[in-house]
Amino acid sequence: MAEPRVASNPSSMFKTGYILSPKADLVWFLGLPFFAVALALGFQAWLPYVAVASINLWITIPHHYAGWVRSYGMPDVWERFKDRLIIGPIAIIGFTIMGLQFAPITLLLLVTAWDHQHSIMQQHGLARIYDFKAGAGLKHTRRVDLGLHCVLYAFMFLNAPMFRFLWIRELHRMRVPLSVDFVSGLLVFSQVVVVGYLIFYAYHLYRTVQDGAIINPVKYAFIGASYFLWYFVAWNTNSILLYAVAHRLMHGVQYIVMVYSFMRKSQDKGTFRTGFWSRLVGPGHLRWFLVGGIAYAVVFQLLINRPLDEFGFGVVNFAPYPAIAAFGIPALDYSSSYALFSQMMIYVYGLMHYYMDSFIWKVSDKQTQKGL
Amino acid sequence: MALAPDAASWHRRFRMLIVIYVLALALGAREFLVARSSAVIDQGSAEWTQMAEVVAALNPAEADTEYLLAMEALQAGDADAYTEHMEIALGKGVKHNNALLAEYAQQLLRLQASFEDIDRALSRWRDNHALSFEILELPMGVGPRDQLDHTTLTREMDALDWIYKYEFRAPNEVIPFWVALVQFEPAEEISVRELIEALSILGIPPEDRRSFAMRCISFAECRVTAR
Repeated sequence: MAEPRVASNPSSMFKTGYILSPKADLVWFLGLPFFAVALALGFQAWLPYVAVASINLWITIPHHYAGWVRSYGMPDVWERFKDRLIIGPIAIIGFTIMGLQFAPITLLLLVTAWDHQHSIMQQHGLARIYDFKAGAGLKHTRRVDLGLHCVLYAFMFLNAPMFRFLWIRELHRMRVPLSVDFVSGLLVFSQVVVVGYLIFYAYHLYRTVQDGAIINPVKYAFIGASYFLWYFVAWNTNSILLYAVAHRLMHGVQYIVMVYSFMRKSQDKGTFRTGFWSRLVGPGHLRWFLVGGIAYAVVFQLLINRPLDEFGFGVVNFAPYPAIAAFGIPALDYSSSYALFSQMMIYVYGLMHYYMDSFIWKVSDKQTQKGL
Repeated sequence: MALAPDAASWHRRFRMLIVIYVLALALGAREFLVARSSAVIDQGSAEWTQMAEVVAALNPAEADTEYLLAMEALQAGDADAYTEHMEIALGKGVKHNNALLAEYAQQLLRLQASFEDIDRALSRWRDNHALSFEILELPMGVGPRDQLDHTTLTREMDALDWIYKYEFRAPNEVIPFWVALVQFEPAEEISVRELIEALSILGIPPEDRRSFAMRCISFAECRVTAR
């Protein structure tokens, strides 16, 4: 992968730096949010709600896999963060089990809140890379940027009708009743905060230039594209389908691209010891990285006992096996049809084994003889 | 090249987990204690009604708000308001709300709407939530009076490929008539006409049930025809 390009103009306070390259960034970080919104609008118009589960399977679950490879598949990372990589899952599984047993609403709120925090942090992290690559910003710009993300995201979470409905409902269920006046006041307060913070941020940019530091405009294009997606789908929909598809597409794809790019560069530079990860990167290996993600999603889906139909965007289904009255064969229900499909797979694999063995093991074949 | 070891203190290394645990414990303990000292806040409770009013004031014209108001109207026995809110919600192209789509189909069954309308509502629900196993209730004109009736009904229901599970609930103090409880197979086209015809089989004398079947053009208009 090409080194990041840093194009500077000495007479300007601006300097561009890219995460991957100008073209790749245009596709994955600047253009993807707009593509994701367009795709989500298409899903909303033409596909059933099952499509959300499909996006989850094709994008979100594989992005978890990319995270596993990045954290557990790189020996240096494993050694450095070993205690967190061991204790973390145990602690998380522990409180999830407890939550399901004793406080399900709390667990739901916690998962939702952490998901939102995680979304903010990913876009913040990517924006930080833009500054890192361009050598832009002041020492405390990262904190000011994090504040900007928190304020903009919280504004959306409080004000967008889709989210507002969810938190008002859940707070009532937790016996924290809210009046219309209180919520209205909170919304006005959030509007004051967002305007105030934007003024503060403008002042920070002014101070950045005054102190002789530079600004990477691509970072702001990236932040703008990300928030375009979130704000557009949060306000312009009656359905969580649009948000779920667009957000998951942006979040998952950008994460997968970032993990692969990181590992590829690490391999090129030799900065990390080889391990499982290094088998998945390099010339011709991208396909194995992607196949690994899809295989992980299939295994995950089977493990949680959900049907593989969900890969099919609601278009492909295991329709029940119809009755054949002429032979007195009754129709099969959904689970029996699925069992029939599973049996068919066992047969197919067996048949392929019989077929291939019919020609790869000919002892009379000179090529076979070389291996004997 | 090995990375520098993570030399941060334990509370710095685990601060994210600590924050999550503290939050989860505080909120979870509250939920646990409150849940055990009072009833769950759900549809039908005063708190839920208050929540619906707050949402309606802040989120007017949203599909989920219309659904909340429809269910409140149903609780209050206002069928017209229920239908109006549901139709506004459905007119917004809702796909995500499984409960809304299932409830609308259920209500059309209760109202004995046209078969076409019910099939459309059922298909809309099943297309979007193929794996939803919500149970729909269908009042039966006549319930099984003996084992023969039960066997006949079972045979007719089993012949419908698109029904996943069903059972018949006897009259009780709350609902003084027989009710068929039905779940649907995923990804199968549903015809409520076939269901009504199957349930109406008890309207035919036992000795004729092998030779004759019910053919219905509406809930009210069924006639006996030769199989």
